[in-house]
Amino acid sequence: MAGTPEQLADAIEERYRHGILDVLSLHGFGNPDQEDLLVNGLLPELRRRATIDTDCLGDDFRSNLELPSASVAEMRKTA
Amino acid sequence: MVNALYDANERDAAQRRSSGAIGVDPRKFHRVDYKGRHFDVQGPLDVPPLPQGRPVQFQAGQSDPGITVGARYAEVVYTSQPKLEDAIAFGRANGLSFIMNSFHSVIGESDADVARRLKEKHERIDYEQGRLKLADMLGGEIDLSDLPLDKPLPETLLPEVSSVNRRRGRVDVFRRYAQQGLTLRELIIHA
Repeated sequence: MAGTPEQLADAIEERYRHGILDVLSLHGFGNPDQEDLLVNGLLPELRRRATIDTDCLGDDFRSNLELPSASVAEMRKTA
Repeated sequence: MVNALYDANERDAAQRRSSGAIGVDPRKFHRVDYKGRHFDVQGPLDVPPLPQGRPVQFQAGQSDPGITVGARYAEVVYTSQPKLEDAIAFGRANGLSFIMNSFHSVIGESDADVARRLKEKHERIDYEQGRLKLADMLGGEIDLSDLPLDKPLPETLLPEVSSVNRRRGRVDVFRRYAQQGLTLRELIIHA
């Protein structure tokens, strides 16, 4: 997909609102100029729209996705 | 099997000491000895227990068995639907926590800047390598080396998705692009 940060945020938001997108992996880090536009363009735009949070919710990926973190014993019952 | 391996070890089986070294207590690692129809798995999982117990489980792959496994176990399903309308029509399975996409972007500061960046990106493409890459995306059994870059692919060249035994989702995506009349050059840009 190609566009300005606002256009890309529109596309991401449209998919999110339709309930068909929850998690994204971004590509372009390592290319300094695209990284700058991702970090200082796209991400602030998504935060401004409250499409993404401003900070991490927890200490690990599971809690950041707000997935249940059952104890091992509880997990064993459902394994 | 993955769950059994992660669940078997106790959470404090490996801990970082104040010196920075990692202390391992072998009594807290537990073996999983499993013999089944498809897998034989021995021994404890040899990675430090995770703070969250089980890692977040992803499923990727568009085959029917893959989708069935995904619907049953996955917390995040990685998928690719190149057209928004198709993705909306496809929808979401009941109870599926999350859908993940890979977001490949070319970002610019204005429409003109985006157009310039896209043009530069396309000029950097090695189209001879691109022919091989696209053939691979289409299942790897076809030869695109002598076809003109600015014409669509002949329909007869496209493999049936069911005849390919790997990465069918990708074959399907590129098959649909080709059927929409994209030229070889445009297909290589997408590949």
